[in-house]
Formats: sequence, C-alpha cells, structure tokens
Amino acid sequence: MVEKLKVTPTEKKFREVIGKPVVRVDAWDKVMGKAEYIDDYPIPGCWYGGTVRSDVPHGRIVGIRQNPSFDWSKVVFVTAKDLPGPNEVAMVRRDMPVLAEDIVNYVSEPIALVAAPTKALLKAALKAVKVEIEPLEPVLSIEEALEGKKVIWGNDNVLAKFEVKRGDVDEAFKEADIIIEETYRTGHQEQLYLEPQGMVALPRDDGGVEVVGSLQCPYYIHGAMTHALNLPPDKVIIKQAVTGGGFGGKEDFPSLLAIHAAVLALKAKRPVKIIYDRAEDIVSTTKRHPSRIRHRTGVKKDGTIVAQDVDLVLDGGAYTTLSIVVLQRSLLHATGCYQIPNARILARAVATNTPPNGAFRGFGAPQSIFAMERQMDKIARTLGLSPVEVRRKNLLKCGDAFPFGQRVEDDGARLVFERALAISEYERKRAEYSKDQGPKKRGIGVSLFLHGGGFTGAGEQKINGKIKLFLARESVELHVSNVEMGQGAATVLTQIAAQGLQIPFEKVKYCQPDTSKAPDSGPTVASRTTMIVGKIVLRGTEKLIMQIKEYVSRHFDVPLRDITYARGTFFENGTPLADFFEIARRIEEERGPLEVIGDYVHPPELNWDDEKCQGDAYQGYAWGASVLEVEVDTDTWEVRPLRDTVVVDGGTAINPLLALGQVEGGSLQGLGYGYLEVIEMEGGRYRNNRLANYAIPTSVDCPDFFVELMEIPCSRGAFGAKGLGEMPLSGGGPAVVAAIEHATGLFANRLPVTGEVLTALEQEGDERRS
Amino acid sequence: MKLRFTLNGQEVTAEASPLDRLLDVLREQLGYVGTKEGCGEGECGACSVILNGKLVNSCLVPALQVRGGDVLTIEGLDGEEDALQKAFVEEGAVQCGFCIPGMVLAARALLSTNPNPTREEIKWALAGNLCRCTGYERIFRAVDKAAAEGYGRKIAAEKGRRDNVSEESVKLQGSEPSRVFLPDDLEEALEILERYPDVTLLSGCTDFYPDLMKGKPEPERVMDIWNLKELKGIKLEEGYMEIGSGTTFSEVASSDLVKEHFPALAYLSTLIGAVAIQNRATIGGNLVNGSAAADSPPLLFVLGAIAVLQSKRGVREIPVTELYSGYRKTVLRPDELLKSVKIPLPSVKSRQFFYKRGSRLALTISRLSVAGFIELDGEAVGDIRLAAGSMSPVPIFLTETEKYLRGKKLTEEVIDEARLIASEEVSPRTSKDYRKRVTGRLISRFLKGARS
Repeated sequence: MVEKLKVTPTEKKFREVIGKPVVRVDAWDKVMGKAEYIDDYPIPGCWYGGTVRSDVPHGRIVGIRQNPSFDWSKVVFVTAKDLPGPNEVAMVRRDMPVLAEDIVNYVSEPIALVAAPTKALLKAALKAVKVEIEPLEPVLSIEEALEGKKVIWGNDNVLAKFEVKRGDVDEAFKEADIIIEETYRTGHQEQLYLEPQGMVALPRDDGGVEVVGSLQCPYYIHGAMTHALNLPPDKVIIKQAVTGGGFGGKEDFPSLLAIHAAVLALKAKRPVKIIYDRAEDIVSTTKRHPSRIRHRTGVKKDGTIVAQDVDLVLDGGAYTTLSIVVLQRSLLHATGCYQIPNARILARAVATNTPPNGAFRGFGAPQSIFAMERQMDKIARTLGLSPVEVRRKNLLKCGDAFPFGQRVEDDGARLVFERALAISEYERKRAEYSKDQGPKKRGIGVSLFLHGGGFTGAGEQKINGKIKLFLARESVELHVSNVEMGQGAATVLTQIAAQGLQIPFEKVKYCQPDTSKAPDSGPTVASRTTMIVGKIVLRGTEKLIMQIKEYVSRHFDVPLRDITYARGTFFENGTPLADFFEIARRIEEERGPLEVIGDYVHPPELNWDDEKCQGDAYQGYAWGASVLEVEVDTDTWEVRPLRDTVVVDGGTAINPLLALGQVEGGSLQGLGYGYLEVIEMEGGRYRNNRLANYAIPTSVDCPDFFVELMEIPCSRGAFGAKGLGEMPLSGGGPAVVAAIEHATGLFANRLPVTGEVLTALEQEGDERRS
Repeated sequence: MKLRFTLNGQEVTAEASPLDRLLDVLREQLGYVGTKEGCGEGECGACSVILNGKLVNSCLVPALQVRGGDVLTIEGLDGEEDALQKAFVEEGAVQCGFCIPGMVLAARALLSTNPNPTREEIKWALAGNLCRCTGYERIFRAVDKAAAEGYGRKIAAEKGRRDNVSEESVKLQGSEPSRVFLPDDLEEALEILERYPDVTLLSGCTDFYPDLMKGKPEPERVMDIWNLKELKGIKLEEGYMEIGSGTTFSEVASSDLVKEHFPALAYLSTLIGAVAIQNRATIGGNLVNGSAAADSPPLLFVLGAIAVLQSKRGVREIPVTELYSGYRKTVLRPDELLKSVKIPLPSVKSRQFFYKRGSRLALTISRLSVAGFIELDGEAVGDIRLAAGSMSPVPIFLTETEKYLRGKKLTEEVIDEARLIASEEVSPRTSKDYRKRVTGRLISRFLKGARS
C-alpha cells in the first residue's frame, strides 16, 4: 500500500472564476509600461527594413533603377527576382505577390525591399531607388469593375459570388402593398490599432527563420512563410509579441509583412525589423471593404415584410485576401435580425486597383447590417410607422429560420431589443427630442444586430483546432495559437482552463503564442476564441484530469471508477487521496511532464452545404440592440453622441468586466464608422492618409455608455458563451445614422454621414421644395 | 550633443543628435520603452510624458529642449502603490495597452491641477490621447476612482522630489556649435539670426516635426528660442494687450486677462489640438508658420492685432493682416523674428466670435473657421469685421458681408441676407457647398448673438 499524500490547501484556494470580473493577466505589465511590443524588443545587431512602393494604381514595371552613386554594398536590396520561393502570399488564394514583378495593381503595392544597419541609411537607400512604371488604365470603382470593360482580375473582375434563395420572391412581391427600394453605400474603414504593424525576422542556424511580431494569426503567417520561402514547417517559427490592437488589421496583412522581413533577414544573414510608421501603415494595409447594397423589400401596409431582394457588392481591392469569406459573412448577415419569408440575396466581391481590403472586426456584417437597419427605417418612414413598430413586427423569434435555412434557437433578438428600449426610455425621449428648438437638436435612434460566432459553415471542421495543456510542477501551461491583442483572450482562456481544471486561476499560465510550442488552434478571428477555442480548452482540461485520474488509480492502486475529482483534490469514494499539484510533481518525477492535446469536436446536429450556401452557418448567434442619443448642431452639422444604451446577449459572460469593455469599444468603433471615419479616394490613392486627417473618435466624441449583458447561454460555446467581440461594431453605424435622422429629419443611405453628406441631403430637400 | 536632465527623479545623461526627439532619446538612448510611438505627429498621445510638470507629446519635443529639465515617464510611477495605475487595472481600463502609458500620464497631469474633475473635464483632458479599444468608458471610470481616492492631492504633495541637474545641462560636440544655437536671451538670439539668416527657429515644434514626417528637408542650422523669457507672457498696456510670441495656448487659455478682454481668443486656445499640444504650441508659431488651417490668424485679423517684429536693427510693427505674402510665406525679413502681438482692447459693448469646425469635436484641424468682431452703434451695426479661415491660403475678410451690414439694424431679414452674402464670399476648393453653407450660418449665429 502506497502512503497517501497530504492534501495541501490548494483546494481552499480554488474559486469559481466563470462570470467573475477577474483582473486581466496582462493589466499590470501594460499599465506600468513593462509590456514589450515588437518595437520595444532589444535585438542586438538588428537591421531596419523598408519598402519601395508603387505610386500608380495600375501599370507595368519597366525598370527598377538603383542610383549608382549610393553605396549598395552597405545594404541589402531585394526585388521579386531574389525571392527564394514562389512569388505568392498564400491566403485563401495565392493571387497576391510578395513583391510586384511585372504589373502593379494598386498604389503602395510593394515592389522592392531594403534593409540597412541604421534608419538614416535605410531612408537614403529607399530614396536611391527609382521604379519606372508605364501606367495602365485602372479600375477604381465597384461600378467600373462590374461593367467589365477593363478586366484586371480573372475574366470578369469578380473575386467571389454567392447566392441564397428562399421561397419565391417575385411571386411574393405581387402580394406586397408596396415595394420599397433603396441603394446603400458604405466606405472604407481603417482599423487604426494604436500600435502600427511591425515584424522582426531572425535567421536561424538551420537555414530556417523565426519571426516575432504584432499579429493575430500565427499559423496563417506560418503557412504563408513556408510557401513563399520554400521551407519545411519545422524551419519556420512564428511568435507573437504583445500586440497593440488588431481588429482584423493584423489578421491577413502580417503574412505579407512577415515574408518581407524574412526575405531581408535571410539575405542579410542577420535580424531585420520592419516597423511601419503611421502613414505607411494607413496607405498600405487592408481596410474594411466598401460596399454597395441594393435592397428591394415587399411589405404590407402594417409593416410586415413579405419578401426581400438584396444585391450586395463588396469592393475587394486588388487581390483576393479574405474577400471570399468576408463576402460570405456579409451575405449571411444581409437580412439582419428579421424574419424574411421569401428572400433572394446575390452577393459579389469585385476587384479594383485599390489597396486590397481585408479583415476588420465585423468582417462584412457591419455593411450588411447597416443596409438592413436603414431599410427598416426607410420602411417605417415610408409607411408612417415608428422604427420600433416595424422592427417588432418582423423580429426573428425562436424557431424562425434565416434565408439560408438555419433555425433560430432563442429569443435573443426580442429580449435585447425590448430591454434596450425600456432602460433607455426610448419612447419618452423620442417624443421629447422631437420638440427641440434652436439650432442644436437632439435625436435618438435604435439599431438591432447580430453576429454568428465562429467560422462560417464548415470552417471550424476544416481548421480542426487543437490546444495543448502542459502539466508543470506548480502550474498548468496553456498553449494556444489564439492571441491576446487587447480583447482579453489571455485572461478568458485562463479562466476557462482554471475552471475546467478546478485549480486556482493563478496556477494556469497562458503562454504567449509560439508555433514551435502551441498547436494550431486556429486564428484569432471570427469571434471564435472564447466560444469555440474555449470549448477546445475545456475538452483539454477534461482529458488532463482523466489522465491524472488514471495515474492516481495506478499509483494508489484504486479502481478508476472509485476516483472522483473536485476543486483540486482527488478522492477515493469521497475520501481525499491527493492534491492536484502533489500528483503533478509525482508524475513529473516519475515520467516527465504530462501534456495533453484538446481537440475540436463538431456538434453533430449542425450541417452546412458550402455549394448551396444552405444550412447551419454558425454555431450560435449573439444579439445586440443599441439606443443612441446624439446632439446635432444643425448650423455646422457637428454631431455629438451623448448616451449609448447597449444591451447584448453574448451568452455567458466569462468575464463580465472584459465583456463590457468589448461592447463599449466595439460600439465606439461602430459610431466612428457611422459619422466620422472617412477615406476618400483620389485616383486610387487614399486622401486621408494620416492620423491628422483620418479622424477616429476622441474621448470628447464618445458617448457615455450604459451597457447591460443579457446572458442566454449557448450549448456550443465554453460554459455557454457566444461570440461577442465583433458584434457591437455592427450596431454603431445604423444607430448613429438613425439618431441623426431623428435630429435633422434627413435620411442618409450611406455612411459615414459627414457634414458634406448632410449638406447634400439638405440641398436635395431644398430643391424638392422649391 | 550630450544632455543632462532629470528622468523620473534621477539625473541622466544622454547623447543626442540636434534634431532627435525626446521620444527617440527615451526609447533608443535610455531604453525607456514604456513611452510609445503611434503617429509621430502629436495626433495620438501614445508618447505623452510629463515635462516640467506639463503633459507633452514626446514625439514633438526636441531633446535639446529637455536639457536641465524634469521628465516623468510611465516608468517613474509607483505601480501597485499608485492609486491611478491601480484604478486603471481594477476598472478594466486596459485592453491592448498601447495607449495606456500616455493615457495614465494625461490623467495624472489632469488630476495634478484639477483633483476633482467632472466627466466633461476628464473627456477634454484626455482628448489628445486616442484609444481604439475601450470606448473610453472604463478609462473615465478609472480616473474618477483615482480622483475620489485623493490622487490629485497626493501627487501635488510629492512635487519637488527630484535630483537637480548638477553640472552643465548640455554640451555641444564636433560641428554642432556651428549648427545648433542655444541663446540665453533675446539679444543673443537676434545676433545669431543676423549672422545666420537661414537658421530655423525651434519653439513648441508642434508643426516642425509633422513637417519633417511629411518630407520637408531637415534644416542645416537650428536655434532654440523656447526658453527665451522676452518672448513670453501676457501684459496689459495702455489701450492694448501684448502677448509674447512664445506664449503657449495653455497660458493664453488660462489667463484671466485674456478671458476678460478676449474671450474668443481664450476659447480658441482651448481648441488648438488637445492639452499636450496647447502646452507646447505658441501663438507666435501659429502665426508665423502660416498654415492655411491655423486657428488664431482669422481672429487676430478681426481684432486688429499688430505683429511686433524685431531684429538687431530694431523693431517694426505691422498689422497681422499684412503678415502673409502667400501660402506659408510671411513678410518677416531673414534677420527678424516675431516678438509679440499687440491686440487693441475692445470696447465693453463690442462682441467677438470664433468658431472652428473640424472633422470631430476635439483634437481636430479646422476645415473651416469663422471669426467676427462687432460694435453696435445704438441698434445699428457700427464697426464690423468678419474673417474666414481654412478655405484659402490665408484667412480672408468677408468684405462684402461687412459692407452690407454696416449701418444696418440686425433684423431677421438682414441677418439672413448677410448669411447668404457670407456664404458666397468664401471659395473653398473642396467640400464647397458644405463649407459655404456652414460659413453663412456661423455668421448668422454670431450676428444673432450680438443682438442680445
């Protein structure tokens, strides 16, 4: 008989952490200035890398000339000819080159790279390169791309196309009292993470390369690097540095940047660091796709929708990047939170000679939801009904189906909507603000929105995410490829693992993602980290406990079925046997540390047909409603958001404090999208290319937030969580535009609603009246 | 050059090139990487530090101006013992963290002068520090919490806890003495200016570094005039007020004299960038740089301000309206500098007005601005001057509108006609309809206000 181990007080220290506002694991480092972002890393002997770019939207490269008066022996220079592998950035497709070789397709497209020992020398070298480009006719708008007179991509400029049909739209239109038609437009939006893009590449002795940087998806970069550098997977290592915001902007773009840094580092045979300054970051990285969405809605006089025809087009920019998947999400969110008995949705993404657009929080949904919510307001306006009434009539209820066939599993849409109206005192304020006199007028607007958590369709099955738990002597290490970029993943995943293992929160160590240690748990995107990856972590914890139980069974010679585990202690028929970490030490001494892999299991009840775009598109839907109050100075068209009441159902809030922060931050980005953030194009160039002219909300432009979390659990997420991170962004745009409409009487069918837009609407009104 | 200054209470020495920014010296020379760079042009606040008790953007401060000074960075705060940092942690004010060091220092700067701020005061004090993650709500709550715990009073009591720089605070090396000039007084500065008419003057540098970012070549020679006492201060003289060209907008905004006589100027000063910019940008720089979007020229035009120009040869005074010879060009002679502006004191019955419209409410560059000055003669318009900025290379007077209004009673009809005339007088290149309409309406708003 083996002696029984003493039960240490670990048991007492375990506290429930799900649903608790646990302090972020990274908060103290960040608030003390100790967190190391990529530009803060001390790397001895590191050179600086820079990029030579196209200054035309479309053209043929005739020559790349290096000024002979510059001493080129002091630096490293790379063009497409010097690339060690295929000139392709492998993403969804491989249509984007690492460096333009023959044709340039957008202003700021990379053509050549330089690395130099000092910043001054880098600057001089970049100046000493002249690229001669013979201009070609560019395609600069959605309309030009669809027209197809000039073809810059494939046979017809169409990067992707999907269609969803339900019922018979044409037949149903005949039964409608009125068909309401409108075309909505949305502009670019820049992620504007506060930390610009940055990457360091370090050549390895084995001929491989290691990359450390500001990034969201270590394995996306890993895949793109092995392809472009022609290296086996084990010779490429990607590590994440503390990342100062991503919002999707560090999802696709870092693949290109990492390859650039690596190519330079391999040629220079020393570490090379590329840190973009703000201007370079804004002009060359991906943005939210501009859109043109046409709605035709057949409605009854009482506001009931009988049919909806949607034609949705996204501007993908010069290359595919993620446009196919962004488009799918746009399509699947096109009818918002409403029950549409007959629907036809055609969705296309087209190529233009503008910088490629990519991932941005919301990922195609904000455009769709803006159009749908505006269409609801238009229906209300046309029929003389209230925006609330029209929404109530058509809300998706539990058991209703989306146009692509998936059934709604809860009443979240109605619950968040009614709650937001009630706590914001919407009706009373609507009446009160309607009476405002003088140039400053208040307005109140409501928006209703949703977001499907996790990858679309079969995406999670394809990724088949894995996590690793490593049982050390005093802690359990959690290795995932999902990054902390501000949203709180490190803390929330730690909470999930601690709760799953029933050990103190402090005993779980979230490890900074590193592809040489963490398995591929998928990218940090699609609001999947808490919901989907959290569930994988939980499976890992169950597996680890089971393996320890088996050890305990052998070690103490107790039948497995008699062993139970709770709150850090293993029991034999209710009698304490051993403490979790006592056993951990034993296991390590006897056979080395134990590690387990947690893996993904697809919910068997969910089915998806990718060809037809039919079936269960997402594992669960989060719902949100925003009631926004603004003040508009009708002399100057200045808008000041006053109060934003937001009620969201994101399933179980693993950490309510972090959840509130996600809702507030996302809502403000949505507000910025709605009325402030402008990118104007001029000949394929962004005119708003600096922080001085790309305006995001400051603290003064920010409303006071009143956020309430409504937690309707979802069985497919960890502890009932749904995906929450992206959803709030979709609410801000339509809410602010609706509130401005209430204050001014002007109906805008586009965003951002700037002073210019309001002036144009006012003039139209003047002309109609005169 | 070799610099000595106090960093977080301790004396440090650093090597710097003449145009190195304080940010570069902190991060690259001294390894204090808690201070971040988010834009390099004073538009994000991630690089905020406290210099001699005032919040500044360290990306806009030439390191040479820090000689002998006192710098506080995030590394100088007490961490777990610091109630403000603790509040940020506990209230969930931290997400990606990149803005946080600057944000904490901006909040500290606020609480050191205003220990119990309102929500509105907190919002304006943090307007120069962008955060893209949090929606600011948790940050406001953290500042509230620290205020409630008496943080402002506590740090006020700690003032003066620092090393005083023991030796010479700056040492120029190599060829630097012929390229970098650090005069002790105006006299010396004017001599240098006479000898090197091409020398670039460095004061608040809030336009200087953004211009370099945009590709303007680095100057060969520079002279630091930031500390010259003769260029600072606000004085009331017989019939006019004199404001030294080196006076910052913070000083203008908080001056009781300015508030009393030129409320429009005090208001304008609160809208120049945000706090960190106002602590550095000077009224002289705003005038002399001659940016089309500069805020003070239109108002100084209508107030009838005089520019006092000084050189070794003497002083000359010209109306501010005659200061510009073209876009970003002034009539200053190569050996002259702007010493001060003199603004005639307005009569008590006059009214003055300034309104700027940027793309957002704070930390914004004017897309249009309107300034007005009016004196009623009984019920009729007596003296009237109206100017518009940001829509032409230099501000313009709305002479037609002025002519129309002179002698008229400000009835609804007259004001409405003035609105239409004013909107036709400006000729913006872009966003025409919008800027014209808003200009007209602001003129109308001013006239309505002047009636009461």
